[in-house]
Amino acid sequence: MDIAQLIREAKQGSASAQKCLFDLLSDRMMLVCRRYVKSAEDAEEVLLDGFYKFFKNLSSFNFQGDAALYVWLKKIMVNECLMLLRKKNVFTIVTEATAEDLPLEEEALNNLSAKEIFNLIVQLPVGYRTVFNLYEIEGMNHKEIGGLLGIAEGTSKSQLSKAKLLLQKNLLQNGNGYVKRKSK
Amino acid sequence: METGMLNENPNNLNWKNKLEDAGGLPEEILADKNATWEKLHNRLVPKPRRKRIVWYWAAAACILITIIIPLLKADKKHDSVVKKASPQAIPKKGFVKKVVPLQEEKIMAIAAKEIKKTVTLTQDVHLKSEVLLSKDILQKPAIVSPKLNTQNNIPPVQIMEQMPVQEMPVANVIALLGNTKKLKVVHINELGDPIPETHSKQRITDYRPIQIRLINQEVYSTALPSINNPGFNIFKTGNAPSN
Repeated sequence: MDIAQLIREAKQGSASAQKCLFDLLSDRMMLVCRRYVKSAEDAEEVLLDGFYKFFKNLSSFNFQGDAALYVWLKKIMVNECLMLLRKKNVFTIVTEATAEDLPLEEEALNNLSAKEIFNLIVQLPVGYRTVFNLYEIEGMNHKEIGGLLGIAEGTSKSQLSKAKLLLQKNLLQNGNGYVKRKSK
Repeated sequence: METGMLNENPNNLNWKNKLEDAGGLPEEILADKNATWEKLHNRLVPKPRRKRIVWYWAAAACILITIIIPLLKADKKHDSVVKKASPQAIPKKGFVKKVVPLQEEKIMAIAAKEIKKTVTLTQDVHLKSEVLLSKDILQKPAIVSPKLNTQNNIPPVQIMEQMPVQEMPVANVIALLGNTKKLKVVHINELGDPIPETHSKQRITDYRPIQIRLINQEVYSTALPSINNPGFNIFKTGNAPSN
């Protein structure tokens, strides 16, 4: 069935349309949640909260295409993840004024599998991981990140540079496989 | 934020796309999608329990109303009974405004008459004090009987409490009795003076019986003075020889 049609029916309160939308989008959204929240149970809880808000506010949503729907839902999920992190008080960022702007080893990451990239990101500490996710994957700038997390722009930069350093270190630790694939 | 969500770095789309692809991470996606949907559906669908709770509240409210209404009615009945029993307790405003000044004048006149009567009956010693008292009464605000003190709605008990008990003159007591009944005027001397009594009581301890024995063996003795007869009495005893 067409997503636009599903949205229309879901707006009218059709449970079957809502289930279809959930089946279509839940896997991708679960991956988003897992990148921010380490625990699978917490990620599921966040997913439920996010979908609940999505269906409750669906009437105010104007469908303009699949991408727009995906972006909107992802935004809801990210916000829910940040809320959970704030609630659990695990989100501790040390303020640092100086920050090195390190380049991310894009090529190295491109050669890794999805699971390897996922594991590298999940292994980062909460603060590093959150800033890295928001900057590198969601595409936010440091000002936006600072506003969302309640930190200074410089702090966001330093957290990102440290996250990248740690990622490089972890990449070097798993260097054998990466080098072999690069040489091939 | 939506503008920020659009990817700014076009070079690193590959590894990001890999992360977004659920097929690349089968272990990380939902294990039991149906169970998760059930949970979500339970949240979305309004619970029927709430309706039940509403009915429970409505029933409780009905019960309360049925209990409270008879109680209120009973209270109203009680109030009406009290009003019937004492109709002058809460007088009408109009009545108070018109009648009270006349009543006060009457009371003052009656009080003055009573005082004059008492003054004529008293001795010269008491005249001065009574006249002074009557003047005081006329100058002071009248203390009216409980029935007539309707202007300020002050209960008579309160008036009595406000007055010093020792200084309350006789005329005030007369005024308190009201204007309808004319009571017999009793002079203060008729009631008896408490001061000599206390004197006599004190003197009793000082008295000692005296016996005088004459040649003809007549014995005269003084008896203890009683309260009623405080004078010096001489009794003849029975020991006197008969001629």
